[in-house]
Amino acid sequence: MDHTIASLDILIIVFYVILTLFIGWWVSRGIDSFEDFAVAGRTFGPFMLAATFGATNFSTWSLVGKPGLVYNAGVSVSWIALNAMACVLAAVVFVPIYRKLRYNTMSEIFEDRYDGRVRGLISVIWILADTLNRYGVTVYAAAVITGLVFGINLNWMIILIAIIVVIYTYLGGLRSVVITDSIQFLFMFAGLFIGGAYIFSQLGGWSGVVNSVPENLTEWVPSAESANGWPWIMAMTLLGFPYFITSQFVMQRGLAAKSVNVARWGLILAAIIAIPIAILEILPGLAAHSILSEELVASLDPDMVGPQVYIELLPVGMLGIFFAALLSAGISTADSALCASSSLFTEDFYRKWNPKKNEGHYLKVSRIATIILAVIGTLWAMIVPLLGGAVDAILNVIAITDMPIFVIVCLAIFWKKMKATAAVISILVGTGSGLLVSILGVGGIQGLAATTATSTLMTLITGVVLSFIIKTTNKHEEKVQKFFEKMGTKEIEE
Amino acid sequence: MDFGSVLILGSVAVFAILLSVGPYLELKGKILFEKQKRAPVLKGRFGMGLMVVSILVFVIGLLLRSVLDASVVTPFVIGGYLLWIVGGVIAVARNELLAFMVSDEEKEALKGDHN
Repeated sequence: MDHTIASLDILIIVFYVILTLFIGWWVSRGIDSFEDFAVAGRTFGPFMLAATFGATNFSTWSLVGKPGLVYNAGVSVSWIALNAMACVLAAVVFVPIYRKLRYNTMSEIFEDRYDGRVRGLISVIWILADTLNRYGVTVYAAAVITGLVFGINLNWMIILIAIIVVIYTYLGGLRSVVITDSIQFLFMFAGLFIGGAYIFSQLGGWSGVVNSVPENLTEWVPSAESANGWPWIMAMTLLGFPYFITSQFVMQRGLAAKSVNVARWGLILAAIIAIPIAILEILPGLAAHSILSEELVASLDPDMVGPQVYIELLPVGMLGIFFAALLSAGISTADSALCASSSLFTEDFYRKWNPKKNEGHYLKVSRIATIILAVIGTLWAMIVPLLGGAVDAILNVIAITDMPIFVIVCLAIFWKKMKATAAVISILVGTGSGLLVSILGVGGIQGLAATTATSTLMTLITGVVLSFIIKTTNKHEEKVQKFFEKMGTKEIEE
Repeated sequence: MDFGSVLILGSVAVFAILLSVGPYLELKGKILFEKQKRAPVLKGRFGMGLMVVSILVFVIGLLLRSVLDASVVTPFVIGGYLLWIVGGVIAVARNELLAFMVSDEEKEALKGDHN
């Protein structure tokens, strides 16, 4: 199939890449400490935060994988993006807590409330998840589509995208990531808006789109017989909680807000913005029923259904904006993952091994870590095709690991009896049991719901039971008291 | 284009403007919502209350799908979802907080205000 696009489209994409790199260089000039790199000196306002939350949530998969999924499953796929409702809980309950404790990385809460073992375990899980899965697989997904469009070899495309991400993340850390995310989010908005407008004009508006697909695909809450039925919706909603509330990958931005109030409003705005995005994301998958023939869809890789709809619909120039949006979506997820991993490594491991260095030294280490982790993640991206179905497996494993961590954070904050040893064991039990359920395929088409429920409940039950069994020590009581005293202190003006 | 399309595209256009102008102003040093001028609210936390009610509506709506038709439960599920966001907006606007987040000094001041 011919996926080639016009010179004007290529020019737009090249302009976008140059703009991204220029911004990376421009904002890097003021970076001189690790705090600048990891939490951007805590300087961001609500709009920039909302844009970066949105850009991180909106990955290449939104434009590439989802349309293929929507083609078969219908509008209920939008619940994936709608799980940004978790941002509201983060804004109301969790961000004020994190901000009062003044953390640089999310993992600090585990040492503050539990001990170094819990923090170390979770940091390792996050670094692996962010580097291999979120960075590596996202770069791979972006490279597959852009490589097809430009006719460039997959590995070269992976390296090209990795170089773009590494350059500006290396230079400016989170500051570059957040500012470029804001620009990228506008490209994504433009891509979605243009694509949506063309689809609506072609099919007679939203009602026309809905009328053009089989009726069973228009159910927002399908029955449990459907793979995207209500148990799946419940699981997707639940998985939003660890993603938006406890992951370093996303919450790093909440820590970088100028004040707690800014972080709260940024998150609320991000939750509201997710609604139109969730609908625009499903449009190409629905429109494919009218715009593409069944034979063509059957001959396509499912990931190409969305891009193919836009190739059919959009004129020269507009297509360039769409593909810049697609590239933006991949890059903005990959940069966040890379920045999160390098910050975690520096704060949680290197600073512990070498505690008495100056901030400039930790900045240098963070930058070196960025390159090393990027190399590892890029190599992973290159072997992803060799792993066959491994991508699904990796995504499932991460879904398994995120829920136990969320449960442990909730118990840390809302239950004073929760013990450190119970936390370590319950994470391992929750993750292990979730993995087992996933491997055994328990739940059939509702496998994700079964896995999520298992990892969540097993972590919760194990943590609670063990905390009752393990004797309370003076050390534990002192630590818990100190933790809650810190949370109950008056807000420091920033 | 019908009303639904205008609503969807219109909201995207509005957000695009907000997210272009907002970050530009922020880069220039103008940060909105920086300070919370309201004292923490511990009594009558309507926003948080609405969030609890809405999440119950959302979850019960989903669970009832096993026995009811999609056309019956969908308004409850979507309604619960939207009310959850409204509750969050109210809670943040009123500075509603969990009790253990508020210092003793602030709690005393709040008691004084109520008296």
